[in-house]
Amino acid sequence: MNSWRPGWEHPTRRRAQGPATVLPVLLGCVLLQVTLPNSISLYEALRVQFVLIAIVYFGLEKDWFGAAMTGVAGGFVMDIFSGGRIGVYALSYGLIGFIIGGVQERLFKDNLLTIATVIVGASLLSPFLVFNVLGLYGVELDLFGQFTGRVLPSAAANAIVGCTLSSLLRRIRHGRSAF
Amino acid sequence: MSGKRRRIAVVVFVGIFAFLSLPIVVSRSVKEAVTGFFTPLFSLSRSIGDKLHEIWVVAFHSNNIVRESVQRERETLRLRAELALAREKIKEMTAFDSQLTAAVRSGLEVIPARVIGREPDSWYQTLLIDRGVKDGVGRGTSVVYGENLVGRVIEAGGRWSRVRLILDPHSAIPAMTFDGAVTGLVVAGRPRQLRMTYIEHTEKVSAGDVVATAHLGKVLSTDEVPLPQGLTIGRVVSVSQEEGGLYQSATLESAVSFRNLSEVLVVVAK
Repeated sequence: MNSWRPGWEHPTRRRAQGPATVLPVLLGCVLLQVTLPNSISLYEALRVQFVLIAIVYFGLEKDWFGAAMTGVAGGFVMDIFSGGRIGVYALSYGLIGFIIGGVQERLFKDNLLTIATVIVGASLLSPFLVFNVLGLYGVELDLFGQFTGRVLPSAAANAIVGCTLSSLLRRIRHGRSAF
Repeated sequence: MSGKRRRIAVVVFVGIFAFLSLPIVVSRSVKEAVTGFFTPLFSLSRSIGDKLHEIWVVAFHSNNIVRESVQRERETLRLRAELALAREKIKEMTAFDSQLTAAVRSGLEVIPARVIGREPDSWYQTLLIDRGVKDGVGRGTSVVYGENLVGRVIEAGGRWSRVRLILDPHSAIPAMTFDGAVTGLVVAGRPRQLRMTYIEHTEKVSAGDVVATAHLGKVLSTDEVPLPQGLTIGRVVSVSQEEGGLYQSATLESAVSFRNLSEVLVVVAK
């Protein structure tokens, strides 16, 4: 029996975003991350990870492969603009994308709380992965300091910004309130 | 189909691992090649950011004035907002002028540079500046604020460079007290703090001592610009005995406000 009713998002109408959309968005996100601290001093203390939010947003619409590749692309863009080795973020964000793509079918994605939870989860998982990847190459970093000083405030900011953007985008895409 | 995608995913992840295992020089070369394409975008977004900041200053001051007196004329509001903006500019220029004077006084040949970008995440502490190889900047070039060391260039393109701040966990600066009596290595301590390590336990260092860079020559890498001697790193706040008792370490306080850096000076020669 077809359970779709008018007003609901039809599964066949939900189109996953292709690389032509995803890549410029990821690039725009990293440019925001790189240049915003210059203009907004508060942002320096409370960094919003726009790239991670974009990976979660796209990852929730794709299968494991698409989500993992989105994560790899986002991570690669981050690697290019960061001061470390190329591959650290590509690997970490690729794994995050893979996990999100793997579990997204079991999630009720129209609920903002679900999106917030996934964003917070990704924000908390990301430093662990980066820390471990860097650890593999002999780079020692202060994970505890990062967590208390940066990661937790950043996760909260990510969730707020991510949910707001997600809500706005859905309204634009569907021309009505999705929630 | 699924098997093919699985194979692609495995190849991608193995490829990333392989890339990670290559020497850091390869990563830097790739980044130097790619980042150059986006430098105009950084400059553009920096200009937009400056405009937004101006709007913010005007809006903030206008709002305050409106609260004080709703009846005041619009012209007065505009003039006050403009005055606030001018004061902000004067403050910026005075700060820049004083750092330039300090740098020149200490015998440094410097060129000014604008900060056009920062690290996208918080694991590293780097800056992007709008000076590069074409301006005489190379790997290892020192970047200062006044006569205080801010960091060293790790990647340089045509008209851009990436500066690793002394607060970066990967930074290690050979240092000594100003009189040259005590030597050590300055590394990043707790977030946004500096620590001077490897101070012999027999050496006497106390709170208030000024720590500066020590010139070690081209020891580690021959293609890097050597670190000039005598650039101020910070002032000793406290001294403690390291575990094992072989060395002492000192916590330093830098005079530079790393969060608010918008203009810096690049040391071309000393």
